[in-house]
Amino acid sequence: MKLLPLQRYLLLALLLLCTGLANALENADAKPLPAKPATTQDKPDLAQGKPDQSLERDKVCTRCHDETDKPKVLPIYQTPHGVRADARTPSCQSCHGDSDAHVKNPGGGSTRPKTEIIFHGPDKSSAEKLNGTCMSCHQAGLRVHWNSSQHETNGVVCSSCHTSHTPRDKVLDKTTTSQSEVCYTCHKTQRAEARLFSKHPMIFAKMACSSCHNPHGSNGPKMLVKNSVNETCYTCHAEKRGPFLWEHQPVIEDCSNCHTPHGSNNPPLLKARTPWLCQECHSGDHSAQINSGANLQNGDVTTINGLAPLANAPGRPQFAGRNCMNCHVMVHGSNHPAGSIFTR
Amino acid sequence: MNAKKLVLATRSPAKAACRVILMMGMMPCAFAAEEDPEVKEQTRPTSKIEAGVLYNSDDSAKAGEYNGLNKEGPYGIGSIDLSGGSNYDSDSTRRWRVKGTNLGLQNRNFIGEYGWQGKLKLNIEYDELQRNRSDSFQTPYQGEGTNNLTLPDSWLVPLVPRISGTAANARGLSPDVTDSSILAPTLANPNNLLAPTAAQLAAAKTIQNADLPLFHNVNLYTNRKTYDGGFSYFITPEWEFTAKVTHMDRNGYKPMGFESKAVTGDRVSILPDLIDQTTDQYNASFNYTGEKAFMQLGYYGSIFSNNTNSMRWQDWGPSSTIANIGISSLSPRFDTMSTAPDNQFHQFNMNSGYNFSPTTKLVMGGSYAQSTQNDTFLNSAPIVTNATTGANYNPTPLVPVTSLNGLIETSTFNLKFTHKPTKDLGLAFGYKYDNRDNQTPVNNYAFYASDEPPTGSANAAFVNALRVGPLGSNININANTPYSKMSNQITLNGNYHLAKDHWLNAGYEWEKLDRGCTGSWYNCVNAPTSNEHTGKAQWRANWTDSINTRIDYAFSKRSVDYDENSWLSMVPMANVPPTGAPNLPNGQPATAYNTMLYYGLTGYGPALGYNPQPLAGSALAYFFAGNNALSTATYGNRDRISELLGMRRFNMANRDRNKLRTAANWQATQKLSFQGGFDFTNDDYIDSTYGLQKSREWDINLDASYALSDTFSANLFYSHQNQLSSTAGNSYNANTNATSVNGATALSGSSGCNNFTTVGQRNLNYKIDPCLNWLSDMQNDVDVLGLSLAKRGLMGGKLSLEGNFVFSWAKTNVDVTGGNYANNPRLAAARNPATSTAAYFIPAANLPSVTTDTFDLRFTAQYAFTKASSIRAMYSYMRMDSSDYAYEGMQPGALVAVLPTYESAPIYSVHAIGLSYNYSFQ
Repeated sequence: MKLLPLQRYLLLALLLLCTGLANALENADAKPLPAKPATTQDKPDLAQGKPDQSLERDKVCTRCHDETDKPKVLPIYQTPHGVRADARTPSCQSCHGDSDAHVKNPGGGSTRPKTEIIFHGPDKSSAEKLNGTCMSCHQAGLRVHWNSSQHETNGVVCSSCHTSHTPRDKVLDKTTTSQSEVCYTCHKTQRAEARLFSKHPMIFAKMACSSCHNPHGSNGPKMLVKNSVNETCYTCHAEKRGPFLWEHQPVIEDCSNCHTPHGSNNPPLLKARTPWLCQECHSGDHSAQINSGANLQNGDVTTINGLAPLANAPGRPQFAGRNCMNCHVMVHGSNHPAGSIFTR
Repeated sequence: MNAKKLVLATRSPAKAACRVILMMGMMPCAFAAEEDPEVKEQTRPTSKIEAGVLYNSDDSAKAGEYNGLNKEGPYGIGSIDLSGGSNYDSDSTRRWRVKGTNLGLQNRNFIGEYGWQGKLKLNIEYDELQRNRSDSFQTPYQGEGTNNLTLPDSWLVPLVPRISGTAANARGLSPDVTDSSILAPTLANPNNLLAPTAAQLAAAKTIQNADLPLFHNVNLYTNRKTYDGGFSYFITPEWEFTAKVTHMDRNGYKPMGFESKAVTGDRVSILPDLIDQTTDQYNASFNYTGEKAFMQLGYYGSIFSNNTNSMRWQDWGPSSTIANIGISSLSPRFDTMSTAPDNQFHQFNMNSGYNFSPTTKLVMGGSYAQSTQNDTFLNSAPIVTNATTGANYNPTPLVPVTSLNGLIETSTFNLKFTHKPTKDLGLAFGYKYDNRDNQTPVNNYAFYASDEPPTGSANAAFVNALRVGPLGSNININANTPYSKMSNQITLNGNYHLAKDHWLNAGYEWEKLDRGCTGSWYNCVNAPTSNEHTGKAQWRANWTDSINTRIDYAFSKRSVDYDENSWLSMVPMANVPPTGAPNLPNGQPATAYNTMLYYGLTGYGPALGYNPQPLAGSALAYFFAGNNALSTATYGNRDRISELLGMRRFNMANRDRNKLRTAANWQATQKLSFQGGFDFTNDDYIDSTYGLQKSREWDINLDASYALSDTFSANLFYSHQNQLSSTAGNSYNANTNATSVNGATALSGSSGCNNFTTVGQRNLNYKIDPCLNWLSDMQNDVDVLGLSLAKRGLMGGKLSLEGNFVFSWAKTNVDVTGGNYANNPRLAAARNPATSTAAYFIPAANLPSVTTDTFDLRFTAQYAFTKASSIRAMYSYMRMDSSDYAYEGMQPGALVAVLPTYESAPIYSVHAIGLSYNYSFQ
């Protein structure tokens, strides 16, 4: 197949990337990049690429919060937060504050003063303080739209979903149901919908909430990963994207006009059953017809109050079986010259 | 390995003793340079391998819809999670990970990562997902797996000989139908039943014996294989470059309806549509993170390719009139269906932000994308022979271009400014712009729906306008409508910390949508402009250390100027004066459009009965004969596409929305907590006479968690969801002055909704008959109950148990009010007494409930021989009982025009038991 011009450029870009990648691999095992000079007062405790010094800072805390602590704190060293050779790695104090009073316990009482920043429990610090701690390093990338996002507005804090001291942050795991279980602690309606007859494979760990949503906020509606509902859906359902010769207006405007993505009793993920779903918009020709139980195979209309015997009482194809979809199959759009009513 | 290993502080007694010994200058301690094993266990990654076998008790596509267990038999259990790299305290940031899950199943996943944190990271992923749709689907067609579906040579066209020896009838596959008597009323005996003759029975049996064995099972499934590769590289501490390529192959079948009108009537085959598609996605971005500013410049590309550019299938009916009962020639006719065309999407995007201060931030972004599609149109030729006349015809006589040359440019811009003027007050202002500009050219096309042969003659003016012909009166002359949409949205939000542990939030949002089609001769959308205003408020409170609540309320009002005639954009001949149409009273040539405009009508026409008749010879009489809807022949379309007067498409209709969300959490004790929530949404389509009237949903969610100890926990949850949607319609018919049906004139059963006693009265008012109004209320009720229990540390800490139970009950009810007319089947062919009942009005009936009840039990027990070595036993039981009346229409004998597929509502009861060995190491 002859390459289109754009495809040629893409291939060239890919070749350049590979060249750059090879070069990067050659140099990768060089010393890690230094951190930016710690010129800001709010990030004085970063590792700066000096594991020894960084661990000396940690010792202030791990002297007491050691391998016997419960819940366990040392597993943080298995995580990216524990890689001391990375210049950006925080120390305990980066997140929990210097907490001099907690460390020194000047009063000498049996109950130590709390740390400056507390992530869990009844004495939890304010959302602003907790989020500000994390955002001092993690403010870019996926978190660009965090401020004034739905979660931030509702008082959700980073540690509501993320765990730093466990070997794996389960909300980052998209190969098990761990992530969705975290989301379901608040989004319980979606937990129920994920078990309905027609569903995305959430409970089978083949999709996670973050497949479609960015919980840190986004430009799209409902914190979707893309600019719109349709753009998000097309990342997996590109066959619906078109453009088509004959477009179906509610489809190109918003997939959720007809579909409910979290789960439905009406396959395939429909908000309502056909034909009534179609009749919410269509009343031309036979789409105006009433459809009720009387129009079913043995219904009163089909049998005309029992006057018509079986041989004289066929079902109506616009209603029975797949109803509208017996004929109007290309509902997402058709590229056939004779497809304006989606039968081709 | 670094000989001088730094270790964390530890209170290990042995370690402490060592320090004392060292400080005293005594002999060196053995522990001095070694890491404490407990510390090592917590600070070094643990790798795991699992291998085992699982046995699945039954075949079930639905039970194994996504989990790879759709067949009875043994399966391999395999998973790995290997991690390594440099230690946390070394000078290297090298890390790697290999993870594989469900390696023995068709939903396997494999991930590999390798890199130097903060410098370079490489990752690859392979993912497979098989979705099993149905294992009860049957078809007589051969060729599944190809795009050419044929019938075996032994196929005989199904008939119901007792009814007709010449008309194809799929009900002929059912002995219940072919062997039963049919009604053949006479004047003397309206209840006269005629049993099939021996010859008719034999003919039916011949057909059934030939055709029924040809039905064979085809498992419908879709399999996706996704290959992912990418990397991220820090050029400098501020600049990072990331790139990712994803390739997905999608294969399988899905059931699809294929309709043909090529010979008399409609015929539909539900067939396994071949899926053979690939999607390639490319992501690349430069990311800058500074002290105050950050920016991301990115590219996203998606290229979809369909290796099946059409589906071809053989008509199951005859190619011509059947000459002999029971023996009929297999049709050589083939029809062609389109498939999703290849398409591409390329997008450049930018996001940036700047922190003016810790309390003031600006975020801006935008994107520009092109979406293109230019597949060659399917050629509906070759010329098809008209079964009736024997003449050739072209089902698509006008296809002005060979491909679409489709182009959509989508551009977005967004801006969000947040500021905290005081420590208790936060403000936010946002603006979003999203423009889908569809630049696909508009052209006129002419075709016969589903390859129907032409009949009659189209209006000469239309033939002349198109310069192609001759055309039948059943031609469809349509223009494509490339939809564009532009959205402008402004949001204002304020967050106020009212008092300790109380927060208020208030917001306002305004969205304006502009819609249209560049190049259309008439406005192509019902609501070219819509405005929606939303006000919202929230109150969050922590009442005590253990009780917190949240309540949100939002009200939205959407207003549009609705144009009921947007359907005109599809029918360009509505702007062409038909030959023979009289001029309008103002002397203007009458087109369908001009006439509607002049009389202030929609395509529905006058809301009148047959009388008073429009003035004979007038444009009104020509276009709206009998005061009926606009005649389709006057705009060159086979079927009526104008809508009911007062129909509103809900996504473009005036709407009031109320939304309430509440949540409460109570930590009753340290071990016991409760959560509850209630959500309610109500949409009122306030000006919609027909179409969706109302949509309402409410949800209740209750949770309880009990953690007796570190080793025992229990969770119980219950959710209830109720959804209601109400749709109104009207099955109006055409006014006529017919007064009888085969001589009978009486009308029965409609006294509850009209005062007609004869079919003549009804026919004169068929368009405005109030009995033909209908309303459907569809209600979904869902209950989900779940319990999970976990107990660890049994048998001296070696045994862990976990159980999960989930029950769900879902029901959909559709209640319908209104009714149908049906002609009396017990009328003789002619000369029935005038007082005989000509037609009955039969009230609507509710639909049988559509139910899905499921029970899902999973139980695992893990016994650890040592810290590294354990076995895991698992048991699962899945049960589903479902019922859906729709499957009745898929059985033999149900429909005349649609071949059966024998599909049935999924019911399964499946056990799975497995045993695996787990090994973990560092």
